[in-house]
Amino acid sequence: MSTLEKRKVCLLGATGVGKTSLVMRFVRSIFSDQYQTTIGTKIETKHLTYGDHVMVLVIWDLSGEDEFQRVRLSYLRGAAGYLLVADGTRRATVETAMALHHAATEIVGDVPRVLVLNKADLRASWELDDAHERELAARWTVFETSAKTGAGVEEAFRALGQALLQR
Amino acid sequence: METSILASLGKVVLERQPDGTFLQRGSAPDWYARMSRGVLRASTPIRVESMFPFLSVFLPEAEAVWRAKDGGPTRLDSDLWCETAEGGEELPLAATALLVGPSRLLVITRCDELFHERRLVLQRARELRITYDALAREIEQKDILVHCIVHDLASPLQTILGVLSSLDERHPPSEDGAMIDLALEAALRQRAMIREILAVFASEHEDLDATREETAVSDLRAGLLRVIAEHELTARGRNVRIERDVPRLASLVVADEPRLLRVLANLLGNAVRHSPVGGSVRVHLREEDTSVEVSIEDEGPGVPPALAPRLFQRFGRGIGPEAGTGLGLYFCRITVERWGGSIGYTTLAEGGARFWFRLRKAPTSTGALAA
Repeated sequence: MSTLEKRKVCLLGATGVGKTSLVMRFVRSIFSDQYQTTIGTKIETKHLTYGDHVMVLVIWDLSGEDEFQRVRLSYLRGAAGYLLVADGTRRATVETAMALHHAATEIVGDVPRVLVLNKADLRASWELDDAHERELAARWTVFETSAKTGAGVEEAFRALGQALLQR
Repeated sequence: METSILASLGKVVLERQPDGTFLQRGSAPDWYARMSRGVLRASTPIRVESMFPFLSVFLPEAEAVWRAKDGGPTRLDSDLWCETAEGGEELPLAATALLVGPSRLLVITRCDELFHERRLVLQRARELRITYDALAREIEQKDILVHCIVHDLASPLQTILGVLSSLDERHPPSEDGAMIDLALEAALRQRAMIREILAVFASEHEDLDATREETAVSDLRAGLLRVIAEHELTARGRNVRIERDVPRLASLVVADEPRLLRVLANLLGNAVRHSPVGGSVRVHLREEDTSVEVSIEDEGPGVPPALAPRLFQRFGRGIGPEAGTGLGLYFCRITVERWGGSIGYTTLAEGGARFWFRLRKAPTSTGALAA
């Protein structure tokens, strides 16, 4: 079995979209309903296996972007890819995610990325309509996820890992 | 001794070596000992960025400190970051790069207290913001519901008005005729109130098209004369005299006509309604450098001082029959402000109320377009 180098990936998105919950679900298979805001940066690692290859994802969970705190985009330096996370129940978080994407490309260039629409367990309360989602899907690799139920989480991270593998 | 103190404060001191590795200096706190469990001895050179990935973005900045020449900064602090130790223990850390004499030091501190305090404050602020946004969305949905209800109330009213009007035309003046007049007047008042509520809703919820708002131009003087004419009959019925001081002047302003007429009608209607029988209402039009002002004065009781500060807010005059919908002045304010104008109220020394509003002159009336 050959082992690939570690790959740094970042999670970017507005505050409260569930970035830390996604990481906790993916890395440790746990979920807590209690919201705990991320201060600064939280770093976790996870081994992913693709056939003969093992990839070590070093996941940088950056604090959310909002009026109280800016995301330090310099922390993206060295990232091989990123997950943009938005909350389906808050349409504005998609706009924040897109703004962060544009800023991120200035730093890391055209690297693999996926768009994650989290809180799929609250589908009935989504502000995003199907048309908007279709429009996003035309430009992005989009995953609907629920950190609460675990739906789509593994798939989103694995898809990013797969894209990293192909570069 | 000093390094033992530092270790007991949760700090580990590392010294940068010429090859970019680091050596531990002095004792290490427990948390660091657990993190560095694969390192054979304290004297073993380590790559700190392998142990703490966050430092991969901090070290390049720290190099500037370690290379500092005379006068340059000799200290740099990192942001907080969080590592996860074995067993899932969360380690909030912060790093400081120091240049002490020839020694290039990196101090890593476990800072639980600072981390939790900061998290508490930030989390509270963010929770409040999320709650605020949710409430704003809920209010908007309720507004829409109320709008629908009010709109539906208007439909049967049209039928009632139609029937009452026909009865009024058929009946000669008599006791029945007086009752029909009373009912007709009440129905008309109710229709006016419904229209006012719907107008406020439209102003609050229509998409703001800045270009359209900027380019809407109306003749304020013509509008004022028209509204005065419409109110003459009502005023005469109350034996109130409307005195006009409306000189010819460049009165093209930034405003759209239907809403401008409604603003004028609101203010003039209030003045007539609150004037004592036999009193007078004075209407003035005045040109200023960049704006045109309308003021309307009455001889009524004026506004109680307690109500004055919230006069232009929703339900600022309370809710009740005498206050109408409580939305008229609110509508005036949000409409005038949307055009970039201002509106206000002052008491008159001799008693009574003075309401005024100013609207920006349209470019054509200031000659800006011609220039």
